[in-house]
Amino acid sequence: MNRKKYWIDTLKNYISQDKKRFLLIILITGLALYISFFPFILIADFPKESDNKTIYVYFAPETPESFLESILGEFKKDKHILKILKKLPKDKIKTFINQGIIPVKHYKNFIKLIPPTIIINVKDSSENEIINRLRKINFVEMVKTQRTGEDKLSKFKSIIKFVSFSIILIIITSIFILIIFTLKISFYIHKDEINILKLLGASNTFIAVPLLLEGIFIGLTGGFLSVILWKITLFISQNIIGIYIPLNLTATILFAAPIAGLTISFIGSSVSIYNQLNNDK
Amino acid sequence: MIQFFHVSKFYPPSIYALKDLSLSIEKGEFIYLTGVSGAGKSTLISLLHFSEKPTGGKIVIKGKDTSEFSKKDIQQYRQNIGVVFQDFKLLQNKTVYENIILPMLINGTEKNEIEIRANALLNFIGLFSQRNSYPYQLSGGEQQRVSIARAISNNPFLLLADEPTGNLDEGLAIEIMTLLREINIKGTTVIIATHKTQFINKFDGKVFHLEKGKLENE
Repeated sequence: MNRKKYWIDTLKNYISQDKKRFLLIILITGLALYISFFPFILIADFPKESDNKTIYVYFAPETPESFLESILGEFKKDKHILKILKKLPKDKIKTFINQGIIPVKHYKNFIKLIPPTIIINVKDSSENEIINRLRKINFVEMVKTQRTGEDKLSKFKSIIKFVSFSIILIIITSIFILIIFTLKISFYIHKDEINILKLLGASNTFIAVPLLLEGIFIGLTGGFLSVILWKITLFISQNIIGIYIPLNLTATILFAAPIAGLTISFIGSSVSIYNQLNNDK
Repeated sequence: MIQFFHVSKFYPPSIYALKDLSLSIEKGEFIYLTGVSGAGKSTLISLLHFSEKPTGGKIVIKGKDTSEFSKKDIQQYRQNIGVVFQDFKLLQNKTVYENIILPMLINGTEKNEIEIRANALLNFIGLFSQRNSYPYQLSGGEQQRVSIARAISNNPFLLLADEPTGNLDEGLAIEIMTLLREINIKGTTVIIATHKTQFINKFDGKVFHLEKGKLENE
């Protein structure tokens, strides 16, 4: 046997002696990390400033299909126009959202579109000119720009960001405190053992390693649990409820959650254990 | 090797466990600390493994004033001595083998060396066949032998034993005393705190008799 094996065996002992407490703490840590993902969605899904603008053109319901096609044909030739989307069937819209062609935040707008409607992506600089041209076309009832919504949202942008980050910070702090108290309890549970090790001349590091591993184990497992919960949420929201969550955020969460769990638990455990060991006579 | 200069240990409000105690112990000696309960035997042992600090006087070990020991010095010192406790102080969730090798793991002994020494110690205490047993599966005498094996696993220069035969019947007590004597013959200084004076004639050694925290005679 060597030190590493001794530490691992000790960790196994600690876990097997107190399975229920371990499971409970892992569950709380996992849930807390999972909840912290939601403010991230809010921030990640915020409209970003862009050089390209989207224009929604709503035609009168009696607009002939042939007229709409001719208008589309005319606009396709315009060099300022980047992309034209005719009103799309629902399943096509889903595909476009998944491919990132249609921003998720506009999903609801697409569902509500009254036929016939077209969506035009234009260069920012040409936006006003295109809008004026569109308004002059027969059967056009309304022209809306993405900017109108963005301008309203941007007023709350900083507040929402502040609130989101505050929530994340509170959750992370809660996990940190939870880990500190968990390790404090663990220290007292194993106090007799720790005292024997001290009498045998063990250094603080030798004593601390199994306890640190305990904290890291909780944080890391909690991190992975939050990822599993996130995957379940994605499945339910996309396949059952029909709400689409940006996929790039999922990729970030897959990496970030276990790393966050590991980091918080490592710092929390270290603070707790060394504080106990240094205060303990 | 060990010198006490006017050492006192006072517990508030008014208990003197040790009072103006001066003594000297040489390398390789076999020492009995005798006296009734409360005479100060265990306190003296505690001072020697730094569970307690003296409230007065000076303790010098190997020429070093122990009042100047840092936390790291104390750790280092503890790694170089062995202590046998009356209540054994074995880790209940570790096997006999794991308990014995603990001091070697603490001071970073090589894996192969640990294996060789652990096997030798298990044979020495006659518990090789029970190397994978847990302390709670052993008798009191067997647990005390494990405790002794753990105490000597680092080849300590000093072995402290606080009532090592306190909880044992006479047969087992003689067995343990024989073991301690064998360790002493190999060169380790052994200090035994005991109230059982019947062993003094059987296992020859120097006697420090304590009474109310004071040394009565040698």
